[in-house]
Amino acid sequence: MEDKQIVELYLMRSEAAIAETEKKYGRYCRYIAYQILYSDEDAKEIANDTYLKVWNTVPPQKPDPLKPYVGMISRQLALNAYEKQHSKKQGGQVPSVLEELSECIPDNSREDIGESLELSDALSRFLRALPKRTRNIFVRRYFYMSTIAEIAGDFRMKESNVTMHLLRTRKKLEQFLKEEGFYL
Amino acid sequence: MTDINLLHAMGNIDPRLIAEAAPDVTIKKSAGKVWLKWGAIAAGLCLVAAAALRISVAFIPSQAADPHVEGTFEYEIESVFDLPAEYDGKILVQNLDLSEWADIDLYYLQGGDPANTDDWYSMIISDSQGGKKLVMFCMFGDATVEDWKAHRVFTEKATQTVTINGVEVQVARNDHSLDLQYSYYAIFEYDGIVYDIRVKSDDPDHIYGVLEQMLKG
Repeated sequence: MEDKQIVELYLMRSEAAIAETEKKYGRYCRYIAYQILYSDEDAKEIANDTYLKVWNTVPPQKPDPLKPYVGMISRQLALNAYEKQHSKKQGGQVPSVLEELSECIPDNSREDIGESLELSDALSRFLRALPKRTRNIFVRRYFYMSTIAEIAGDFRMKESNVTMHLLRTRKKLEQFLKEEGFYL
Repeated sequence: MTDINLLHAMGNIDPRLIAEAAPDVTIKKSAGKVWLKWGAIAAGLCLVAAAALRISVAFIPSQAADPHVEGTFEYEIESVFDLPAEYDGKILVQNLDLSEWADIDLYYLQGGDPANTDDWYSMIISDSQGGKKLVMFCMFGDATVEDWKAHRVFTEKATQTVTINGVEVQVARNDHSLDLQYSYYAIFEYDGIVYDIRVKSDDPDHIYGVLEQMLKG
């Protein structure tokens, strides 16, 4: 079923919307949550919470396309759950991703300019300027939190090449953020 | 700014970038005729049934069952019309010539014993006919027109009641449409089955044309 049809079901308050969302994006939601929480059970729970969140936000939201909207909700819910659990002991990609991203932030960065919308907008502009492949690898790592091994498999690269690719992109991001005035 | 800020900010980047980089999480299927794995579909629906039931009194199936085949089963069909025809020869959708109309969504509910979950199951199938898409949500359970109306939003102020070939039909305009899709819908009961049709057209003649075809007798 097309995304617009599913959204229409939500607008009509038909519970078939949830069944259709689960059918089309259930695996996608669970994948995102699993990468953060490393637990099948938690991932299923996040997926179910995602459907309810979509139900509660559509309307007034009318996401088009639906897929990234669902993905963003799953990711945020999973991160919230992660932070709540303080689950570094449980593994997941969050600790290593955080460590990598810290390289993009100079010591003298301002604490008050990390407002997420402004920063997200800058990140989007940065990513749009990258070659598609480089951009997708970066988003796979830092939005989806896919493992290096998985990215290497999907993009037919060696893991060391993926790591190097990401390192170069992070360096570019650091420079970009400086130029954008995110750092004093 | 901290690394956690950056991590959260990545969660709000342009949705198109997120969609573009999405991992392939689908299960690869072989091409060919349309195979509908009803057991799998029903199982998928069962996964969300609990969530759905929390938000409404629903006719959501809780268990897969079929009057013809025991356990998990598969159907091979050439046309979306085949399966309803096999289930019950009185399904009016067979009368439709979709090539004349815009895309259509059709819900239908068929009676059963609501106390017996084995009697309940649901299927969602879609196909194209004459270049037009038909999506059918078939929910089997004990339902009436009033139940169904109460179950989901029905814009009373926009409702018209008409009689077509002896069948009372309520037609309404959907004011919440996206891109004028599903602009008109109709609910009626015929031979123990509740039909809920949505026609993606801003022209009311289309919904009445569909109804005339379905109810031509």
